Amino acid sequence: MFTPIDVSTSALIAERQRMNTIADNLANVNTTRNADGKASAFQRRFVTFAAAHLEGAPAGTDGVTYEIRVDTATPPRRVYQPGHPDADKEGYVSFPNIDYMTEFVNAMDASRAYQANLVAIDMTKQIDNLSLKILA
Amino acid sequence: MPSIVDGTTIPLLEKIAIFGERRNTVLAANVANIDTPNYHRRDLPVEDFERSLRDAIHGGTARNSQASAGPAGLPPELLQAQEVASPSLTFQDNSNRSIEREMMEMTKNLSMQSFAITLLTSQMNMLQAAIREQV
Amino acid sequence: MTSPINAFNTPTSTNSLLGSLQGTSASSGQIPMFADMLLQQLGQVNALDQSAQSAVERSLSGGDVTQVEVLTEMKKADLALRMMIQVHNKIFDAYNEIKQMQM
Repeated sequence: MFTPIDVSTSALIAERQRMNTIADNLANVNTTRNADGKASAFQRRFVTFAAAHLEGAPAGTDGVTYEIRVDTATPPRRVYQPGHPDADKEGYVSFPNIDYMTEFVNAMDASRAYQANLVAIDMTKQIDNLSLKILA
Repeated sequence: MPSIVDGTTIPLLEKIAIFGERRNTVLAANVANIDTPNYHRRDLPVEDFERSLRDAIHGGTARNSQASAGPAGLPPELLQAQEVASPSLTFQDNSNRSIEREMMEMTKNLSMQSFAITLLTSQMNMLQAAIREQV
Repeated sequence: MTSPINAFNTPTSTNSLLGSLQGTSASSGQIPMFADMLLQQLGQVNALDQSAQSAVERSLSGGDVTQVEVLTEMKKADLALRMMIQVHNKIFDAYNEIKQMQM
């Protein structure tokens, strides 16, 4: 009976995870070491969405699930800095290939989607309240 | 002692309204503790409650307010909060909180409770009109 | 000599109480009795009440019933009950009035 709220909530959770991933990327824009202390550029992460069937819902209503993936396709930025402690033999340091503009645009998109789903939940609540007025 | 409302759906709606109100308190505690480390979300046993409702409806005891001890024939163990291990996001301290999920559960609980209380009110008004012979 | 009720030009719908009474009186050719009217209305109210309660139970046990259906069933039962109470009151008043008529 309350499927629309479940569907919208799955979208909210997915968009929030997307924002978290973007925040991770932006925080690590200059990270040249990984968690073990080795010299390895931070790989940009991104989130993929997939439609998922909710249990208990009528057929054809799908929510959203997400998966966090590491972007291995873009190579890291190599900058010539021989004095850097993480420089390799030729003096190049590998910086993460994270583009501010891409991340900001994705963040705006995630924020819009989040707001849209909040409005959808609000409308569902309004419909429920209105229908209770049948019995006054 | 059987009450005048046995035989209507009033005991069933009462059970749902009582369960909903208790659950609201537990869910509000979850929201309040959203930032507490090592806090696991708690909930009333919703599936057990729904199952016992279904059994009562099909078994014909849903319209009986003395089906078991406890308020309106609701077994008291269904009103005990338990920790829930739900398959959702995990944080670093292995808890399972998500503010969206808590708000969703509260919203659904509120919708169900408004529905049950509205129906309950309407049924009681009908009984009252019949008793008073006055519309 | 008064003509039977079904000769009047009253609006009839297949569901209204008057329509159903005209149906029964057309077959018997008599003015409908209050007893028949009340019994029929009682049956209607009971049927609506049962369908409302079963709609509530179906929706609460996870059935495929929308909230709106349950609420409208309940409201229809409510209106039918109140209509019957009013009819009962009017009949009772009419009976009292007749009782007090001096012959």
